[in-house]
Amino acid sequence: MDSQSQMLKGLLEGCMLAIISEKEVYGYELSEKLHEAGLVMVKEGSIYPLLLRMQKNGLIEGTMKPSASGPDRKYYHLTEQGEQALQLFDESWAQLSQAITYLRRKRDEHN
Amino acid sequence: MNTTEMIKRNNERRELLNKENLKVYEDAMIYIRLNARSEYATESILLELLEHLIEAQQHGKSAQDVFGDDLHAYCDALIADIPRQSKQSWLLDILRYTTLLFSTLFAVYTVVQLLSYFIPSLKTESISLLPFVVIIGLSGITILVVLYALKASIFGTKTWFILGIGVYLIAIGGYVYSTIVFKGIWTVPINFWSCLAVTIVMFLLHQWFKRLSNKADLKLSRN
Repeated sequence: MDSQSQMLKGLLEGCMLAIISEKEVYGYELSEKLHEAGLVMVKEGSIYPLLLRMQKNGLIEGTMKPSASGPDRKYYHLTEQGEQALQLFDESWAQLSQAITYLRRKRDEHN
Repeated sequence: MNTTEMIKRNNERRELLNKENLKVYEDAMIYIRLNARSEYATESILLELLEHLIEAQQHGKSAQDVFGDDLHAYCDALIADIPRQSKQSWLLDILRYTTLLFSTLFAVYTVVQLLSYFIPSLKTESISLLPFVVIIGLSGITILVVLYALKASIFGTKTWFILGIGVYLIAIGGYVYSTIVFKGIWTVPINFWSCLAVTIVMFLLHQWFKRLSNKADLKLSRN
């Protein structure tokens, strides 16, 4: 796996944590919210390997519940560990974003 | 929902898919099921994918829109993160299929014994135990090869599939041959009632091991 897709996976995980922390969601709902947020390059199905890994790492938990529109669905919520992971992600993102903005501004000044 | 209920639900819900989406989904389903991962975790993610695909279909999307262009790679990525089967449930699975195998074999003997009341030439009074040892060894290897062949054949490689059938036929031939060669060694007397009893006992044991295995698997997934 190349480093770029590794990075994308990490970012996608952060976005998923953010969505799940707002409100319990099931798979399809989650993929729609990612889309709404503008992450249109993400294939819907690619959330599932990540959901499995996040469950394995204890960041999220799923429970089967009847949905408003018919069948039982697996709804995900954050665990305490997941809350911490989200906080950590927010912090590293803020740092990263600050660094990128700084470098951009410097480049603009040179030009 | 336990594992059996999820499989049943999956069979019912799958009927809602259109032809193209069903083909893609079933390829993925078989490929993912053929891995020795926790059965509970496997069925749980399969049902989740199915519900997603059904909802996507209702919104006019195709299986390709959901899973991408490389289904094989997608399945491999998914499998990598499905929890492995526990040693305990793996061992119980071996016992579960071995007892099922013996139950099936003795069901055949039982029918033959019953027929021999009407067709005297079919009468057998004793069988050798040695071929059963042969069949345990053979079936283990056969199951491994056939499982691998099935999995490899879903996304293209037909060579493995032919090899799988070959191994399967050789195993059956090997068993039949061993019953002829070892005819006189380690023999035990049999009749209709003893065959029937062994069939039933083996079948009950099979059911029991199945329940224990599912329980062990469920415990793993809940932890």
